[in-house]
Amino acid sequence: MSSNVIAPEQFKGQTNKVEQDDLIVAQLKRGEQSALRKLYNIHGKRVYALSLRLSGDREIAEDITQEVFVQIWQKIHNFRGDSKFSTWLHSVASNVAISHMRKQKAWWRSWFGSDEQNETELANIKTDDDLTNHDLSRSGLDKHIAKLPEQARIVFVLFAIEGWRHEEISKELNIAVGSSKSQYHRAKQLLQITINSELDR
Amino acid sequence: MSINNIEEKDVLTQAQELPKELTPKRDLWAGIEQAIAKTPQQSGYETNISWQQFGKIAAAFAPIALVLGIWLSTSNEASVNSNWTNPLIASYEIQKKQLLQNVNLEHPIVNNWQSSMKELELAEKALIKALKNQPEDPALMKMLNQVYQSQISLIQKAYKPQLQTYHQI
Repeated sequence: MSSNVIAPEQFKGQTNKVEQDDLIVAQLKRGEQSALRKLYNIHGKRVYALSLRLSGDREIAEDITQEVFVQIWQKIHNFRGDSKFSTWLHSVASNVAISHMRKQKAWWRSWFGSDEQNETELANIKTDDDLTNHDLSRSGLDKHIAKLPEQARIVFVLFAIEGWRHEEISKELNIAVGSSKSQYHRAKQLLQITINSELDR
Repeated sequence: MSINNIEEKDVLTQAQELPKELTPKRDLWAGIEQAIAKTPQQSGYETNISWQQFGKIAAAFAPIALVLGIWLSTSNEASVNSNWTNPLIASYEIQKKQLLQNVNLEHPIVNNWQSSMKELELAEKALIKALKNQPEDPALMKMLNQVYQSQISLIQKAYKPQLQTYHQI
């Protein structure tokens, strides 16, 4: 994943955070449950923001956030320190979020008839505006991101906000690199249209 | 169009400036705490063992498949037709066994596929139970078949890591 440029004054803070994470990881590996609480206090809001943007739904995002920390607890021994802990955590979070949504979709698809019918069913299980307006009131853009079609939204969030490459997104979503790029452009265009129509009002 | 109209590049700039943290509306910690109290940690050692155990589990299917195979080859047509679910179950069990024998055990599992499998197995049991009461119900037959196909597809997907950075999980 490509990282954003870090300002010099932020560097010390980030280094401290890495050291803090290392300490917590060691405690977690010793089975100390209190360490998970510390981890949640540090990263919980970040994981929730990612989950909310990927899912576009508050309740699903809450479930995903909880599942992420339970998985961290279960699988902490598989973190071998090859990457920064926060990078690993965000990978786990993205993976859990996408699996969660995929599982729901697959579940509905397996119980209902044709794909067309299923798309209608899924469209009906969309974010309700009041919910997103409330949760994402800090940013107008977030409100519009939540309303994007699912795949365009996921690609946009991972690429534009989380800094993933299209190659990484294509592997995660099991789609072609070209599809990832076209979904990203579609998302950008849709956002541009909706924001401009709002500005015109 | 208003003079305030934004360009596509502005959308990207705005996206990068979004807050990285958002506060959930309710406290999520209580649920996490409850869940981990019931959830043991997986050690790296246990993970390796579980792969070895997979082979044992797959091997354990062999006698079952053998018995089912013998049952299938010796049972008369009437009894097969009177309970069509048994050959279906046997067929999928054999497919599952073959898949587990042929996967590359060195590749780590990506998703929490065992919990999904448990859900599918619960659905399978519920459908088989429902079919005992309504043996010829086409909707139940279709759903059971779909549940089995989902199980096969889940095993196939579980052995294909999809994200490089997630390989450590």
